Amino acid sequence: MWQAADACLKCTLCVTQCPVVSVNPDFAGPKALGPEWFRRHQAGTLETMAHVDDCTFCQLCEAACPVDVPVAHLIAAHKEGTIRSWRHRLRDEMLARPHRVAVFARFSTVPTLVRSVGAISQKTPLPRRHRESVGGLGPPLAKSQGRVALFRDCYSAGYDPGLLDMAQALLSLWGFEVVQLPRVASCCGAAAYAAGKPALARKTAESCRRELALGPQVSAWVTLNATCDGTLREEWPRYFGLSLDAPVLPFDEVALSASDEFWRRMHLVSASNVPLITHTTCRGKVARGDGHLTKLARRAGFSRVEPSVAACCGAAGSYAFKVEHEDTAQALAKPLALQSKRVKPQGFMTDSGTCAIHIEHVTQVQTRHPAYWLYRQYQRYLQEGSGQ
Amino acid sequence: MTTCGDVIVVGRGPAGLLFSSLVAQNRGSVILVADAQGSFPLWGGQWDFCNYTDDGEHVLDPYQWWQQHPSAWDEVRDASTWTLRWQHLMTLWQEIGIPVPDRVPKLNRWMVTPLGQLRPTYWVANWHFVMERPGPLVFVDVPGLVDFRAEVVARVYTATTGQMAKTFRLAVPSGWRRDWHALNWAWFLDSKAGQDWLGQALRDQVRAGEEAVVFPQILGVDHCEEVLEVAQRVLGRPVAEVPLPPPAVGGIRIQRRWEYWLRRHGIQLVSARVTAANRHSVTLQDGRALAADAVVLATGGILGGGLEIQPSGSVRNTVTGAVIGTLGDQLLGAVGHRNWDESVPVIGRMIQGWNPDKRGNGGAMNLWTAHVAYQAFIGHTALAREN
Ligand SMILES: Cc1cc2nc3c(=O)[nH]c(=O)nc-3n(C[C@H](O)[C@H](O)[C@H](O)COP(=O)(O)OP(=O)(O)OC[C@H]3O[C@@H](n4cnc5c(N)ncnc54)[C@H](O)[C@@H]3O)c2cc1C
Ligand code: SF4
Ligand code: SF4
Repeated sequence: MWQAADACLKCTLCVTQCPVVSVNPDFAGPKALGPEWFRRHQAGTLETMAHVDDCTFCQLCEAACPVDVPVAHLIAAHKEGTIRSWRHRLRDEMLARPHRVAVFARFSTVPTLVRSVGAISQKTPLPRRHRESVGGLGPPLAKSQGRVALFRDCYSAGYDPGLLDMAQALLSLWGFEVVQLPRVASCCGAAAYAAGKPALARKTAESCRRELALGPQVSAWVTLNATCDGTLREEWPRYFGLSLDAPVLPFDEVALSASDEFWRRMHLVSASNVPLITHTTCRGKVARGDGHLTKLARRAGFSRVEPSVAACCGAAGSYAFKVEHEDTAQALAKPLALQSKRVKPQGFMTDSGTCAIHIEHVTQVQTRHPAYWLYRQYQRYLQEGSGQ
Repeated sequence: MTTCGDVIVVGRGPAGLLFSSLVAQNRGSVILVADAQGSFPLWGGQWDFCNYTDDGEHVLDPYQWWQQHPSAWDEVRDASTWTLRWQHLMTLWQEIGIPVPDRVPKLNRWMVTPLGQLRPTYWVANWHFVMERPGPLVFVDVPGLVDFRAEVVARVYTATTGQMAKTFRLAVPSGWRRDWHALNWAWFLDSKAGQDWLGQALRDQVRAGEEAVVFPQILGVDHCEEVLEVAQRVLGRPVAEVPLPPPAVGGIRIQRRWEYWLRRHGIQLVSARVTAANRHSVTLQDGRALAADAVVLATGGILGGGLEIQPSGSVRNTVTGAVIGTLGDQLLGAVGHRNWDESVPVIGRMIQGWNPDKRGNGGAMNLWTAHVAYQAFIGHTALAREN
């Protein structure tokens, strides 16, 4: 097993940062379900604990641990042993392959009966395809920055292809030559790992890696979704034995290094004094930290920006779609609903499509990716007359 | 691609959060890099000034102690500087939303430990039970909490102080489980259902009397003011808490509010391990580099991950890789650096010469070292501007 798997000091820092423990009293928490279970498992006890599936795989526990115990990954291994009903097994097999599900994105509704048989939550809205036509943003503002690949994650490819085009338009404006990869629907493996299927996760990721190898040489991989970002940059080398030949960078980090001229133009746009709440997803917090979205939104000229109060919105990929998790998912999002009532934002900015659906559902406020907000703001600049 | 800021702070324990706040309050930009959560959730959040003399006697007047026992540096003798720094912490915490009184105390006060003993402490949030002199108290027994047995606490308290101590036992809500620890209780009481339940459970306990009611620290996390309000209203007397061993609810409250305040102030939190640092940049484990006008290390001691004990017994700085001593040496002599121009400044637990475990001066250590580094930082930036 991994280095530090048996290093737990029982300090409880992981427990203090776990969002699920805070809303679900049945959930035994990361220390009990991860390292403590692992020690018993190593000693030959093969029983699994109740409610281990309630873990969202947000990895906030792991990020808190002072001695690098792979807490969430131990819990994923723990989940493997759980015995589930055939309906749950069928559903989980399907949701662990989101790139296959996304192929059906054009069917925007799932009948109630199918949901009920498939143990899919009736309360949580399922993804719907965004339909937006996206145009270019004009000639580049900077000299050529080289070629980057925009990682075509399964969610964006299926449900939000316009977002990929917006991100591409912005990257081109900043001087990058952009290719979208992989060309065919693939998944980084995050969904399968979160569902406690590490072997399937590896297989899925390997096939994704092969697809990526078919593209041209690039100087960086730019990701839109925080989960894919963390998976490609940190988990592929550590848990999948895979690597990419160029650094993996989240879109918003690339955006922050756009030229001064871009930001100057963004600031010329009127009506930017609209309240906006930025929510870095849990996996984003783990993969690279927090505060980037707030910085980005403020730099883009949104003057009333407030960070979200929630550590995790509860969407957690397909977690909130599963009927047994709907209460936990709703409870996790509640602080956001309260914050939204107080702040009355015009929008939420978040770095994941599934989180966006969930946040939009609980707050009734438009929730989109930073690339969307930047694209829209720049379009306004173009419409308001670019001669200034 | 390098990210730039005015200052990079490594470590998100109390020292790192305080230093970052000082910079953020003065409109500087901060990148706060940390590999793990800092120590706040491991303790109650009481900032000690100086609790013990060299002989282990209780200190009552820490200002006087510092005047009479200059330790590493002359400046720490100056009572008025101390007052200013504590006052800064007071206004900062008020701004963050950590409830504290409007004046800094002149003397140490007494807190009760989970074993019922008394010990001095200095700076605490309003939820934390402290008293100027012992008086009669009521301790609340919470089912399942092994770290706080009200009967034992009351017995020890009476034996130590000669004061009356009563107890009562809290009922359990539906859904309660034997393995609930303090944090489970606190999360439950944060909810509306939890608060309604508590009001009801306490109504059955109302008796005449004026003694303060002391709970183990379980009264909510983000909504603890509301939970305390419910308890105070129903019981009709002051209610406060005794902090417990980890997971320590008081420290978690402070950490959550403080980090949120910093995010509102636009600081960037980077989650990564730092493997090398110099005055203007740090290298992260994944190879990325971050640059800034200045770098400050608030990486904690052995428990915080800033120092690492090697199998050989030697102690290694996790950032610089330097071996700085061996266990059993007159420990860690070379760790503290205060001079901006010579090396990367170090604050908090990593600095030598404070010895919070023996002296009970951990809070003062964070406060003092963060301010000293901040003064040096502004001096340094002013100098850079002149040049
Ligand atoms: C159990 C316990 C009880 C305490 N009780 C009291 C008390 O009663 N009164 C009191 O005043 N104080 C108390 N303290 C606080 C103590 O005295 C110190 O003030 C405090 O622990 C030191 O804080 P710090 O900010 O220096 O470091 P820490 O809080 O230890 O934080 C260190 C930070 O640095 C990060 N870090 C370390 N190495 C690296 C690296 N290489 N790369 C990136 N990040 C790194 C860590 O992840 C962490 O975020 C207690 C502390 C503990 C742990
Ligand atoms: S991965 Fe997230 S939900 Fe699961 S135990 Fe860790 S912190 Fe809790
Ligand atoms: S944070 Fe790490 S060391 Fe501490 S209890 Fe959790 S797994 Fe163990």
